[in-house]
Amino acid sequence: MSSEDYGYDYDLLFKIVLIGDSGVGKSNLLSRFTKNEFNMDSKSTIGVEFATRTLEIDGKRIKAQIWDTAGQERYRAITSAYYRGAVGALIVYDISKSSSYENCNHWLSELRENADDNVAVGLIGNKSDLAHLRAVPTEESKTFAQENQLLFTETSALNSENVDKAFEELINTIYQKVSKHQMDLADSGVTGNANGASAPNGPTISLTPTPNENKKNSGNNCC
Amino acid sequence: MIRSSTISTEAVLVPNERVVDTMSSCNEDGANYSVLDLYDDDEEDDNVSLLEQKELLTTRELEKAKAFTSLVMADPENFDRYGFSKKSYFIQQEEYDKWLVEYSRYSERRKKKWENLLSKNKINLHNDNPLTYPARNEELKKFVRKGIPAEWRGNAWWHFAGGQEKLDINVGMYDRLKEDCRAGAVSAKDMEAIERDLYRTFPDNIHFHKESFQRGEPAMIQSLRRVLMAFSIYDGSIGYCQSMNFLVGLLLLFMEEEKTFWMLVIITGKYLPGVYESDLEGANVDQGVLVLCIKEYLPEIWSHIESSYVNGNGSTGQIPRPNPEEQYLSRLPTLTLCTASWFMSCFVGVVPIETTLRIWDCLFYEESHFLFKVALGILKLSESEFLESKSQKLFRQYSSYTFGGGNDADSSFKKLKNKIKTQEEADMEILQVIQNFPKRLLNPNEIFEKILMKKKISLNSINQETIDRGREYVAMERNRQRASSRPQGKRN
Repeated sequence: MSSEDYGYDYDLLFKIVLIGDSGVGKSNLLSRFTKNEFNMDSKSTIGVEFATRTLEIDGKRIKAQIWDTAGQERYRAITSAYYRGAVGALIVYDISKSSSYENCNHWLSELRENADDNVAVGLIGNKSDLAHLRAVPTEESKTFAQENQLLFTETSALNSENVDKAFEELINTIYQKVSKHQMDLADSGVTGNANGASAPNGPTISLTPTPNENKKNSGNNCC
Repeated sequence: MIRSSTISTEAVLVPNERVVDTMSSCNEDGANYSVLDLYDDDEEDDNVSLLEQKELLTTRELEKAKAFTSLVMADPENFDRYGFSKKSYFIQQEEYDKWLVEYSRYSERRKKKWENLLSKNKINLHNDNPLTYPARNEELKKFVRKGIPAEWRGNAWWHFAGGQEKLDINVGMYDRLKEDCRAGAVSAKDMEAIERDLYRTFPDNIHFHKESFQRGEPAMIQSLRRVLMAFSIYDGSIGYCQSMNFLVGLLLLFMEEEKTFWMLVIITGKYLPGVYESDLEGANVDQGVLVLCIKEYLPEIWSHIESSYVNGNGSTGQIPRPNPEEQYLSRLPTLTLCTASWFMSCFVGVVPIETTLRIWDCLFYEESHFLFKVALGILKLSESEFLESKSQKLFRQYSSYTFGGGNDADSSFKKLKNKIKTQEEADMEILQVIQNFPKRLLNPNEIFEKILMKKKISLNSINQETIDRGREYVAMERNRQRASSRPQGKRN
């Protein structure tokens, strides 16, 4: 039940974005979760890459589509479409590098500004295998996560520790939100809505496969 | 490193006589190019037929082809002549070897033709690495499009891009910049970003990879650092932008450091203006131009993009609203998340290395409009795959709805077609194809012969002027739209 799959036999499709400073291990988290691979020397990511993995919750096949992008600040200018339709996000920092943790605040507001209000968010302290170099205490991040209502996990893409757990928790949270919403909305269209970029009055989160974007104005001004 | 003096392909690759006989009209006085090279050679068959390929894929051929790659390499089994790992997630060793046999023969044949072209123009081969080339003309352009011999590339790129002219008016500058770097002129931010990317540039290339037995840093890593740092202080409005590491890395495999530096100046200033600036606006402008080109030349993909700009709420049956005038220029389509990096890296890492090199040959000869052609060519080639995945999906949905399919299901099929596809799903399909498809373009001629050199295909009418005008228009339009939407507040 893993690996890249191109099939369309799924019930729900969740778009999840990875964000965080350059070099914190976003690409390796992606490859660990979707292909169970890790590269000690991976290439710097430019532009956007994504991969998928299908999981099952409550007998429903959920296809998680994970997006990864360049961490360098200036790339925000070309990735405004990155957040379109995302129902989940993982903000990643490196536990051995305090500046990458301090920037999480910035990433969080970047996310809040661009993504759907209902987006489920997790905070990930990656490189937990570098315990001897730890610069960010677990408790501190935990508090930050609680204050901001984020899920929190420390992971190691290198030795796989907690990687699946972090993604699964997030996917579960999204699923809960979506099914609650589905119930609220009763039966309006099982096949989901097309999220045309300019659909102005859609519900904040559609019953899937994806949420409607509700930040039309900010989107229109993007550059 | 590819150094011409150490390379003689003739020594390792004996041309196949049969091919030479049929492909070239050789004669004694050196006018030894194919007639097809002189005239419209769109249909020239530089690939051997399938049957022949099979026949030729003998052990002997393979050994020969491997020797072709072993000039600089300790491990020709696994690495190519440039030091890149042959295998990738998308390409198997077997597939690679098969292609290599074929492509080595192609390269050898092309090189002979180049030699003849140069000698016809009385240009000295200069120990198998000519320093100059004939004046620009259609014939030369065709030669470049069919690939510059690998051993000649460094000098040829330098020549076509006008590197020497740039260097001549800046003598000594690179050395001064290096000194300034040593004196601490590089900003902490750029330095950190550069250091982080040094080993993340070509981890799959032995020249950029530090083996556990190595003591110091590989020389290539040191050069990469020096060029990027020098550039960051040379052009403060750019500093260091990720993706420049790929450009410099590849250039360093073909030319020395100082030349690499000036080539980077030419790429970032002349070919891709504004693309690497701190707001990447040039990159957005180029993507806008690409979108306009798609609109004109690739209707299938355009219709997909367009549908994301009208109120495509299919399941509730709302009537699509007209599209605000060219909104897609300020609010670029999702597809550009992938294609932006194609331009920024000039296709390094986007397509397999030999295809990248062929693109670079043309980039330096024909300038940036060629990148647009390649992007459109790749989209064009992947279009069928994209459509296929779309129809497969429709078929599956259809089968499940009709319990195995019946004859009378045609109308329900049509209904479904409108119903099942959300915009996000469609975006995903197209992105998935576009992300992976180019990585399998092992054989450059796949795209060069089928798309880029075909006169029939209309995208050949794109030239540098079209692109320059497009850039001007898109930049203006984006400014205008930004200005008019500013009062509403938020930007993203």
